[in-house]
Amino acid sequence: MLSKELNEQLTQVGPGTPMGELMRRYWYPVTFTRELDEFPVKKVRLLGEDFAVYKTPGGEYGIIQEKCPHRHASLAYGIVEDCGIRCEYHGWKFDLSGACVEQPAEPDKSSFKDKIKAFAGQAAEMGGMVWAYIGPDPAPELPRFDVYVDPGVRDVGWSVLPCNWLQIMENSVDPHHVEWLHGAYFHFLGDQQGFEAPKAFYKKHVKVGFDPFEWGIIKRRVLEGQTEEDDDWKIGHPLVFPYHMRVGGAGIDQMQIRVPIDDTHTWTAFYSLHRPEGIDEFPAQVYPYDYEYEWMDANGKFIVDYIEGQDVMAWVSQGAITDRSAEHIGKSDIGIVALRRMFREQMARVAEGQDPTVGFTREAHDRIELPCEKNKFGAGLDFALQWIDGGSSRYSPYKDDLKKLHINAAIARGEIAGTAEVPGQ
Amino acid sequence: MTARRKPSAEERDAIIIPLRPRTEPRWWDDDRARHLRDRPEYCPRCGGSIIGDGGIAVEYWEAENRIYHCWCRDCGWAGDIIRIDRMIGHEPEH
Repeated sequence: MLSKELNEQLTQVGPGTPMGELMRRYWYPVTFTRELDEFPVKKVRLLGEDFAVYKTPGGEYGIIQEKCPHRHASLAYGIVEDCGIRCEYHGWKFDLSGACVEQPAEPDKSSFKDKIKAFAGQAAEMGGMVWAYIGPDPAPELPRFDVYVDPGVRDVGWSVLPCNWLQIMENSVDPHHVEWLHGAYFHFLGDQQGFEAPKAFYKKHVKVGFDPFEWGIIKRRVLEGQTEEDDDWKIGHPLVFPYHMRVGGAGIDQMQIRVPIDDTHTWTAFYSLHRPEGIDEFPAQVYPYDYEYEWMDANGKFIVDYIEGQDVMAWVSQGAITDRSAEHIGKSDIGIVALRRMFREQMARVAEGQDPTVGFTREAHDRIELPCEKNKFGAGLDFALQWIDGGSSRYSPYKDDLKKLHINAAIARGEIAGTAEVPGQ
Repeated sequence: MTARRKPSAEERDAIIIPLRPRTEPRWWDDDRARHLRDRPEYCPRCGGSIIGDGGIAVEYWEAENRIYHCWCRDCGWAGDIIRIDRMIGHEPEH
């Protein structure tokens, strides 16, 4: 339970709020590179503010406040040019830093443009997505997490959810929900609707643990029949502060992304990298596969016959911003307690003018490897196929290709009999 | 699976259950009041504030015990403070 004021402080991300100031110290994916190649400018909303994100003919990415400083027309309808964007209304041009460099209708000798500067952040490409930073200069390094930079086949299901991002993040430090929401509830649903629910998630949690580390909190669990020598405890997997979770197993590595659009809407994505052992050469991809995953049916009810749909139901049904002044959490929720404390600690650092110490780096790097268990729930080919069929990737137009990749890998590993197909043939 | 229609943006927002204002007492009103009354306000080590901008006090339950996990912004102390109503020891097996 929290006070009403503390709940507001932890959930409000607009400019000038303590959490908003902390969250502005991080980079966020705001669109797919595919989208800006199809049309070079797009409106995006991030942390309660509206922006135009664009790609210049020279291949540079930019992000600028949506409203033109002149008369507030939307720059999301602007004309993208070399080194900047021009307002479609009267032709004011802004460079990548937001400086106004042309005002065509003003007198030739006017210096009026020199006093105009739009707010511009920084934008860069990684893993087929355009990432934006809208905090104070100097920007930290864009963390190049393994899933975004390693070779493999990329498949991304995304959707906008009408709830605050923090209740989604709290789910990431709540291991017990797996055996109930994805275990018992899935079985109940299967019994009612006549399908067989996956058994992997049904195991009882004997012990859970949460260890802060430089990129967030490592979540550990001992399931019934396991010991602390098993991957689930020994390695675990991390909540990557402040808005990711890293999971994996059976040749699938995934980042779960929860970008706060504003206080009551979150862009969620399940960014999967398929790289099963046994395959060294992957089919070429110009862009990650991306598609909107479904979570609501035609009757306005949650779709709960798959893992991520069950999670979405639990996140969204709490309400737009869950009332933590009326919650009753117990010993099994201490991961959530640890996360709230981490947010409060980092908010305090930023309020004092310091950099965050978690999930943040100013050191140049090529790749950041995150700890993540490999042998998850006794993972093998069956688990990979269940993941594809029973997760958000069941909405992927490419799911058959993904399954084929894992079957070929299992053949190459000698796990099953058959003749492996060579990618691209 | 049955055929599914893509929901409109309005339908997505409409799924949020509206919180109707209620006037009758709710069973957790006492808990909420006790939280505000009993939460530790000062750090047991340095005396710094651990509410407001000072730190954090999150309440959770373990059986009948109400536990406040606290962190002090001033000195960095963190730990659990348990609010107890009765001093009860363990009962020997018999």
